[in-house]
Amino acid sequence: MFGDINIKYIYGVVESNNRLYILLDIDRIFGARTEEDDEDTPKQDIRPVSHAVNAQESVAAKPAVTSPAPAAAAPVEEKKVSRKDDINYKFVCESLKSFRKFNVSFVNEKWTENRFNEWEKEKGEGKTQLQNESDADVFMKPFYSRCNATWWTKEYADAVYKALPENSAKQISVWNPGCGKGYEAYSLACLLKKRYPNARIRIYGHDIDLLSVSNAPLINLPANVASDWYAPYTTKTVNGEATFDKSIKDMILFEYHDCVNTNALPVVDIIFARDIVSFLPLESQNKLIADFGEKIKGNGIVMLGDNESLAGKDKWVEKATGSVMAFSKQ
Amino acid sequence: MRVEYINPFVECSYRVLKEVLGGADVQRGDLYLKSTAMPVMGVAALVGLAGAVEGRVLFDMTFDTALKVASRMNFEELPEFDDLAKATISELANMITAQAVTKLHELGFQFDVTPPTLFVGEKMEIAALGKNPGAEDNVEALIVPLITDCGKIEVNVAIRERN
Repeated sequence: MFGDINIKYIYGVVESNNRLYILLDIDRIFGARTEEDDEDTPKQDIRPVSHAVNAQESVAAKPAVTSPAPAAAAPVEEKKVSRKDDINYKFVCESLKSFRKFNVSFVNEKWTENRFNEWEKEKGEGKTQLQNESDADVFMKPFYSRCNATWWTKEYADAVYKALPENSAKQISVWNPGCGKGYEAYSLACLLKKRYPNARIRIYGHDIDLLSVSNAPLINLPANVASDWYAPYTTKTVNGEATFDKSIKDMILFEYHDCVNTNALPVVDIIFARDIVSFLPLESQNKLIADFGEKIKGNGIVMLGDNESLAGKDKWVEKATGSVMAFSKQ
Repeated sequence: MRVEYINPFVECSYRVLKEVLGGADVQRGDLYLKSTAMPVMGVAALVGLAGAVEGRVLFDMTFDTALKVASRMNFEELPEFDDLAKATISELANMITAQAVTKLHELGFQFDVTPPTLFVGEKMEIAALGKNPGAEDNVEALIVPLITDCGKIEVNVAIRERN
């Protein structure tokens, strides 16, 4: 009976009293749960977009907060009226798409609207248009996550460490799309080794930039970085340069892969995809997020960029631990 | 696709092609990834890969290019795409794949190759379907375009590790 069942209809497996039970997602099998049903359910409160601004200023631990209760509002003024019908706002969104391939969607619309409000105050009403790539870069500057495309600071590493959930599994798998040159993948490997010392860690680092991902396995660390929190996980090469030790390198599999294409990944415990969803076309964003839903384990978490959010979509629930937001399936 | 797999295929395709074409100029185009069903140009030589890594390598070219390459490799002008020409193109596919696999063996990746299969025809399409057949579930392929004076040859590699 179960020989041909598609793995996506299997909700979970439970062992009890020497019997193995396979839990099926009945709603999905019989099509009782549809896209329209998901959209009709009450939307989760989304944390104020500028929580990332606060995060930059302070990475001190705060009590973990689980939505749907709204989290403490960040001290940034928000316009209550949506900007979606504002023609100037629409022009700015189109310009961001054209200049920087930034696509405004539910993932980042709160940030974009807030940022537009700030931009309008700065530039004056009627002078909000982005004239060139330089304008777009200035507009986009606050969007990028902490430690983006660089080695992680100790403060950020500690913040992510605290957000990693309990997991007693013997193998922990992580999907890191948009890994670039490997900064994130290696940083995650070090943190996960510390957090789950008894587990076998596997990180799949994917990127569409062939040059970056090809060189990622050969990366060396600058001396000042190697002596920081990475120190216990590094070793010296014959040239005296610092590199990661074999146990860290063996955890990571770098692949040349476009994340919107089909992949052969197993279900994973963590998806770490910062500042990547927003730069995909809308259709690809939906496809990738659907893939996140397929690939993440029931107790797994997804971490997006500091100014990206899955809350309110397809029953994703957000949980803030300090300055780091994680999303899990309801 | 693992980054370790890419270079052997790219290097060996370039090197073998250059050699069999008598040292002719071979330009390598930009590599890219594709995930949709792809039309075949007219002649496609397919070599399967099995083992810890599974998939296939496809060498795709037009009739005209295939005939010119086969003629060059046989040191004579072949008038039509006959059995000799077909065998020659199959052998070219075999040579490139075998060299790439040898390189990968040296890197510690063990897998086997199947004998080449040649597809010749018009309006053909290649699709590498995943577990859920459908346009949205095609296995990703790496495309390595090689431009020669005989025409364009595309090396199309779709391989993945068996979980």
